[in-house]
Amino acid sequence: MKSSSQKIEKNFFLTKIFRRIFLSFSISITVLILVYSYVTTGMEKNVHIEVLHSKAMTLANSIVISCNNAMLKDDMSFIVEYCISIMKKNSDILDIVVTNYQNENIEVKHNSWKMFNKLNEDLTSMQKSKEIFKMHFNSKLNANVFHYSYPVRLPGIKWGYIHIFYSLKGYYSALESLYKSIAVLLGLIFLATLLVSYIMSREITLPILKLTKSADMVEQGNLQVRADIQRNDEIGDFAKNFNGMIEKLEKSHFELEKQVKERTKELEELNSILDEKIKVAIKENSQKEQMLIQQSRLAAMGEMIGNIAHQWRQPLNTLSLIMQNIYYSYESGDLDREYLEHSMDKGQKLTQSMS
Amino acid sequence: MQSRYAVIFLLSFVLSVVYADEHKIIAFYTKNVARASEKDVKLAISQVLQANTMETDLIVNEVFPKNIDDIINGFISKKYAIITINAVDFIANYDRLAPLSSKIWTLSKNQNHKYSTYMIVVRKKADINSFRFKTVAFLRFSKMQEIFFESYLFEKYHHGIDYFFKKKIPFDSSSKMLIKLFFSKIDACVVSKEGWDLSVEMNPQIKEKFKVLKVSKAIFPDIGLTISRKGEKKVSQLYNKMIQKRISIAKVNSILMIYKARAIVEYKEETLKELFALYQKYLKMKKKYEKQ
Repeated sequence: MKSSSQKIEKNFFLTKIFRRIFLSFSISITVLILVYSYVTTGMEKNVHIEVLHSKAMTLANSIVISCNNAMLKDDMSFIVEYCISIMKKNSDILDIVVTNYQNENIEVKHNSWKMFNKLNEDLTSMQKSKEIFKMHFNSKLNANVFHYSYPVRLPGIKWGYIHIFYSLKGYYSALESLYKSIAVLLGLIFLATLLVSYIMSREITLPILKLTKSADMVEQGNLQVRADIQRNDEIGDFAKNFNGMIEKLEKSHFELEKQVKERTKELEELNSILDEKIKVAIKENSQKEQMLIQQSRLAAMGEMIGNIAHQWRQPLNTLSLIMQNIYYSYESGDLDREYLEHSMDKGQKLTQSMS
Repeated sequence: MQSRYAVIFLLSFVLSVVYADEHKIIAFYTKNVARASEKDVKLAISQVLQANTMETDLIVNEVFPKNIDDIINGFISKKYAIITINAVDFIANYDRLAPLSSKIWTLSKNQNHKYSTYMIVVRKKADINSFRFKTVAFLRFSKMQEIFFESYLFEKYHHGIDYFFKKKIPFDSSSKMLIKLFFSKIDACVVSKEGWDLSVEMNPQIKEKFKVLKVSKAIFPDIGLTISRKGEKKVSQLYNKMIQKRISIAKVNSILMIYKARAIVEYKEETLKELFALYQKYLKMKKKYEKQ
């Protein structure tokens, strides 16, 4: 029994039930985690974009608030200075472009600034009545950027636009970091999932296998077998009930066997007596039978003798008649030789048929 | 250079002057000390002095007279071992102070060159006559820039700043002045060559749009002058040692940070003479043309 249990513990992972439970657990958990990761990553992306949007909007508002007077006076120098100070404090901003209604446009980068008149397609396409943003590759800046466009409205006039170009390096770096973290986490969770699935499958499979093995042995007639399962759950209760059931079965079987033995003994005794009786009866019957046979034989012989006598009586009568005929013929004088020979011949034939 | 004050950096110098057995007094003129507040300057000086006193076992007293004449007279009367004053104050009292001076140091804003070069910049299409009743800009606390610019005007047009310009605006940096000039918010400015180079690098349009009327020699101290009195060899030695071996470097750096300076450099006598010559020439022209 012990070696059987060890064998089960050694090879339980080869069983179908273990594989099914293990695969069910691991696949379910993995799918859940993948879905969660996918959703989380999407949310994280949106959060980063929202943060960039919020930062850009706050910055554009701060430019408008701080440069309000300068904008009203068309003092672009103040705006340039302010934008330079912003650039010094924000390394993730690649470019700030401020355009105004007089087409006096300025562009401030980290190490340069300039004034220009003609707006390119990239800027004009982003100048809408509402603030907008887009993420794209900017060939001029040779970088992936978050381009935010903010319309500047001063009392009574549409003054111009503020374009802020944030570098997406931080965004991609954060995403890369997130992906790496998730990959590492997924790897760890996957390993943990395998381990947990293994443990859980083992916890479920082993007792079932032990019970199955025990049931097989019971089926083969071994009622001394017990499921070696010590657990405080339903499976433990089941094993306990199973063992109790086997115990009762064994007890019942023992009682039954005992009764059978007793009955067998009684039967043997009865058989023995009966045998003697039968033998006596048979002997008696045989004797009776012999007697009956003898009687039958005697009866048959009597009958046969009767039959023979009956059969003899006929030719004897015929012979008697032949003799009477001879007598009467003689008396009547009709007796002649021929008649006599004829009667003799008939008498001989009868005699021959009777012998 | 009246405004630019190298008060603080001198503190470290001061420490070296005074030994435990020698009670020395260092005087700092803190009025109009660049953009740093007088409170910050005094605090930084006290910290440097304290740190150096602990390391060298010196007894040092720092004073902050409100009147420049008190400092200069104190230096002459041997009351103060070291003084820190504006360059223009030193030049204005050159005859009295130079003979008593042993070594002079200044704070430099640039590590590549010790002294500043000034440039007079206007827009390319500007005409001197168009300057009248307009605006000129200088670096804040830099009286030497005004002297340099006015010298140019006296020399070229025989009139001073007040004749051509209605308004003088102080700025904190050369690049800010050039931006204002670019957008025609001012009409002329005096900038440091370092600021000019930086601005041109940032926006090459500046070079196309502006013309440089005059470029000075590299003789102007960036921030203040610290002067040690003759006979105070220990002071000089300790100060040099402090610069070379970086005694109390953290404290010294805090002073440099307050003044936005990069280094403490020795101001050479020859350069000082050139600066004095420029000032003398300016005074003469001023006297001559303002009388007219």
